[in-house]
Amino acid sequence: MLAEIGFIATWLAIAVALYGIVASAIGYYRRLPAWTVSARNAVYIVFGALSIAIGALLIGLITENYHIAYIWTVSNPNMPMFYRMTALWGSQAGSLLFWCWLMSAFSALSVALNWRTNNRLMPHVILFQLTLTAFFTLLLVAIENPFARYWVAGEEVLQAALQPAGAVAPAMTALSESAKGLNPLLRHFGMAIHPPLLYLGFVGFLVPCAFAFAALATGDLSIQWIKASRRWTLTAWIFLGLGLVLGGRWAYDVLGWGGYWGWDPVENAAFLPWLIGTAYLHSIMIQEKRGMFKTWNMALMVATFSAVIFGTFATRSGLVESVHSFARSDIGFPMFALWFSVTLTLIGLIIWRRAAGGLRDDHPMTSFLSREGLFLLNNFVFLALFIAIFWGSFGAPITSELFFDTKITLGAEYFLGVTSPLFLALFILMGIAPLSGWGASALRRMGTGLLIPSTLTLLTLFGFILMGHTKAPTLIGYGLVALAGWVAVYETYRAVRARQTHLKENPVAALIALARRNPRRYGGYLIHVGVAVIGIGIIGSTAYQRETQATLSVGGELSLDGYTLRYEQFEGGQIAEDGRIMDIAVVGVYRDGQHLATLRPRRDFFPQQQDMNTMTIAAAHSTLENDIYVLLLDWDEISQTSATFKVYINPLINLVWWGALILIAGTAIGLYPTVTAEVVTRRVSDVPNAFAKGRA
Amino acid sequence: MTQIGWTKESLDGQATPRFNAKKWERLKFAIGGLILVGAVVVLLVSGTLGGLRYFITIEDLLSGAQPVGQSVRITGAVIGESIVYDPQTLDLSFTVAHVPLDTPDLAQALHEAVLDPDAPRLTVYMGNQVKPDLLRNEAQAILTGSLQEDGRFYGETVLLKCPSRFGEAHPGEAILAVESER
Repeated sequence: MLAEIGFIATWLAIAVALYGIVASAIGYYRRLPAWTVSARNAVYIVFGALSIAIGALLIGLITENYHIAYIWTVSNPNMPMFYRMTALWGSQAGSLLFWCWLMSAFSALSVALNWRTNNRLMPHVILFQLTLTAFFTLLLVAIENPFARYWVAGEEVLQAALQPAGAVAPAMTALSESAKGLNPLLRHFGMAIHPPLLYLGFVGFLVPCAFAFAALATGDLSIQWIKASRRWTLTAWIFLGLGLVLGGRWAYDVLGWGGYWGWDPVENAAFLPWLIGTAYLHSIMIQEKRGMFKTWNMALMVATFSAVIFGTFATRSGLVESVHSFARSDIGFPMFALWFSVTLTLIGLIIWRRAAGGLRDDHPMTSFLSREGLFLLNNFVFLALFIAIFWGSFGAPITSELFFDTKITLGAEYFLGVTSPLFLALFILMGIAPLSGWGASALRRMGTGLLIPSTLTLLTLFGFILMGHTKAPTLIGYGLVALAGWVAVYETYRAVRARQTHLKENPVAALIALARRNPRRYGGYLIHVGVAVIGIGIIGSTAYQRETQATLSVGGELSLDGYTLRYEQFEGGQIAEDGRIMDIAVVGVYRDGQHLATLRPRRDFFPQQQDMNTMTIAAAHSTLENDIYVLLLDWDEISQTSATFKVYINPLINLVWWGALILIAGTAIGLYPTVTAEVVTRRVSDVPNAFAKGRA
Repeated sequence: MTQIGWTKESLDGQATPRFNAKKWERLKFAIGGLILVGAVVVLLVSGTLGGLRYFITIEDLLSGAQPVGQSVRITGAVIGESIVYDPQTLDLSFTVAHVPLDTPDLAQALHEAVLDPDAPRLTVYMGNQVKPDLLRNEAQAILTGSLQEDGRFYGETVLLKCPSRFGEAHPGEAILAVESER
């Protein structure tokens, strides 16, 4: 019954979405507002129908309805409830349904919130969003139906949504006993929330791109489309960023190689829209302040969304070889066609509007060292990074195959070599751009503004040297990254001091007032601090990682970088709630004779899994200074008195995760509504009245 | 809002210094832009040449498509019984059998490659390598490294996918097996 409910709800969503597309077009082009209202209602109904569909699949997972093929594939009776629920996005079909539902949710929310304020853009916003939602939902039911059931016809097991003639449903006991369960690699908290965050980021860009499309289609190329979509962009951007960081955390915890970013094509595919989206978030400030970069901003938004669809296509089609990609699927060609047609349509619209003069800038560029000049450079570097990573991940392999009848790939050394100078250039710009002025170069101001941050940077470098981080290239990297962070801190400090001096506010009140008056600037500074913290973490953990391995008897010790690890005991055959059997080594961590922590690296065995049935789970002792990361490689099965360990010391790695938290805080401030001059005036004018009331 | 611009002409028809200044500004940006684009192109080309690896099959590698010692990327089916791992030294070796680069049913291709005694095979050696959990019979191994004079492939990195990652091609077998037991 659940399968039928979900299947019907999905088809209903498709039908209503198609109706909504037609209704929105009629509403706009025939100037019939009632049709636009009807299209808006269609958006809500699509959301409702897909909510029913995803609800049906979720209930199926919770109630263990193994008749549904998807549920049989990703869960089994031994799995805890939490992982049974997160199995919703554990494989292609479920995650595609989740994707469609998110699209419909973003559409419904953006339409509801912008209906009054941006009514003129709404028909095309709806048209764009419903077209994309209808496409993905159609793809879902036609190729990757999550509601297909298993049927037995003689000696054959079939997968179909509706009962084929002569087939019967297999016995539930046969299904539950043979159910496969979620891939053990995905049974991790990071993996449970990493995909939804990534999807929120990817799908979130649908809203700003819909506004860009509406602006291009209607010719309303004022700043309105940017204002309407800025918060959506920022929301999508932070979700995507968090998804990337959590993906890194999952790789670090689960894959057991001591790292978190492998320049894998699928990782890169998610990183590309984030990069270009970051360029866009910087660039729109110039259009808002100076009326410049209008075409460029449109192009960046199109590039961001195009990268989203391309990344989805690359990951879901099986186009690239990656630990993260889904199985090879037939959705590849339709998704490629979608990517191509959406990108081409939007580029065509930009060219058309630009030729008609609608995207002409209000001011010319005057100086490279003006703020807009530096922002342009920042955009250039982001674009260069985008091209470099795209070329390395997809461009070079595809070009070589298409034109030279050979396959080439570019390894991590390509990415490290090409992106490192570009990232450092970005940090230089992060350091100096906040000190520049609008419209003209302000070298003197920059020089003065850099004085104290440079001094603080030198002190920071001294600290790193004391830690033993003395390689010259890394000190240059640390210096540039720290300078960018200190400039942001110092600029905030100067503003706080100014308020303290002139308004006699305490520092906390001044900081809060600043964040409320100009959340974008001070949220942005905090984001810069977060990025600088992440940058330092990446440099430290990449350049100064230490590793060793040893076989120890119980009571035996190994030393690395001033730490001593003692193998205390072995706890074999522990059975966990989900049926996995855990073999655990207990390891004590000591420094200067002092006990710091007890770690429990282990090897898990999943008896029900046929293919992937063992997993090495690392244990780590984490401090701000470093991680002591221990893997249990092997042990004496019979006596259990000796075991082999691999140990990594990853300096500063936790700054990567802490930096991400700072990034969230900065984005939250950036999303906060600005206290406008009008509101301030009103509040100030209320003060005498309050006094008057008080006196009365 | 429309911006109106004009250029003041001098009596002899020559552009005024203001016009020249604007032209110079544009030229300055064009030169700056070209230098930056050039720098990025140089970075990309040198990075590509330095990091380029041919992705070839085991059959191609063994037939000498790439010279011995050149770093390449290959794909093959892992033969489970050939896996030898010493956790004390972290020495890992295994044999991979040839599979085509593009095949519609990779799980089937891996299965057949492992069973086919005539399929070209290659011994892989990796030093200082923790044995990956996914290294098992019929897993797809994507390796970077180089073929050496001794006929062994010295791997630097290995990416593995177990058969279940290629889709549930034959889920019915498991269900029928349980049903037939009843």
